[in-house]
Amino acid sequence: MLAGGSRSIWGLTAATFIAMSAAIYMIFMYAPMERVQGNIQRLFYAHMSMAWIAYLSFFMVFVGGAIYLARRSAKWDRIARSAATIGVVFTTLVLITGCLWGTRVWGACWTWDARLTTTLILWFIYVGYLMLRGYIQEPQSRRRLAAIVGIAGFVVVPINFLSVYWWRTLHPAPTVLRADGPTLPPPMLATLLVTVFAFTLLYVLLMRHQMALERLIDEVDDMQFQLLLTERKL
Amino acid sequence: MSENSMFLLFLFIGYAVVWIGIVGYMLYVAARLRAVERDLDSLRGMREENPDEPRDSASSDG
Repeated sequence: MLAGGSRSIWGLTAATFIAMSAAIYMIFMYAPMERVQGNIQRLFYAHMSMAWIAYLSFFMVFVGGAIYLARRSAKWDRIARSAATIGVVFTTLVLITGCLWGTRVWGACWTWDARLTTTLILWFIYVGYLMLRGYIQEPQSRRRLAAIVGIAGFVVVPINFLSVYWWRTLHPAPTVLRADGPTLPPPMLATLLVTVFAFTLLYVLLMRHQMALERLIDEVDDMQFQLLLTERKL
Repeated sequence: MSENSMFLLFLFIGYAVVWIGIVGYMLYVAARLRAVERDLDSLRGMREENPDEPRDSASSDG
């Protein structure tokens, strides 16, 4: 269906499919039901995995932008752009699944809680990043400015992660990445780790397809820009 | 509807949203890929009609 028919792409697709099937089985069949929240807690496995993918994506935007500024390599700009697109998709899904969970557990889809608010700010930053790219025609200026926005925008990621420690929030505190070790029961922790692994494979797969698309877009942009220059010369 | 059925309904909606979102995104990438390939073909055609045009690419793969 998507770009690339190489053996590695098919291998990655198969591995993602197997890991995702295992994750779905564990979420619905293996993990025990949480006593207080009931079955809606099973949404947490995907919610947290997608939040991890969003963080990873925004980190890649930061790294891609920084390396682009240092080397002026279009490849790193494509990595940043691809990661930003995937990051926005997953942040949107995190916000929606969080809303569904909150509706049943808190009785409200949205609250101006520090974690939720900073997640929404992150979403706006990276949607803005993608929109900005659409407004600048000259490729070098577009890449340079996008890299600066991508690096500056990453500042919100650690604030978002630490917001549950810094402020009193409704959002639950981390249950895995804690100084005193994970507080999840072992079957739930195993389910979460398998789900995170499956989503990480999915992320690598999506990045490869998005990168293939961005490479072609770059080619089209460069050719259009050259045609424009030729027309102006004539 | 019982409390547990409501939780299951929300759980179903949640996972439906996740998969519709991911599959929708993949379909979008596939559609964009086809559209960009068409654009590229037509630009290549235009370039062949315009041999005076500079051939060096503005992007560098580093």
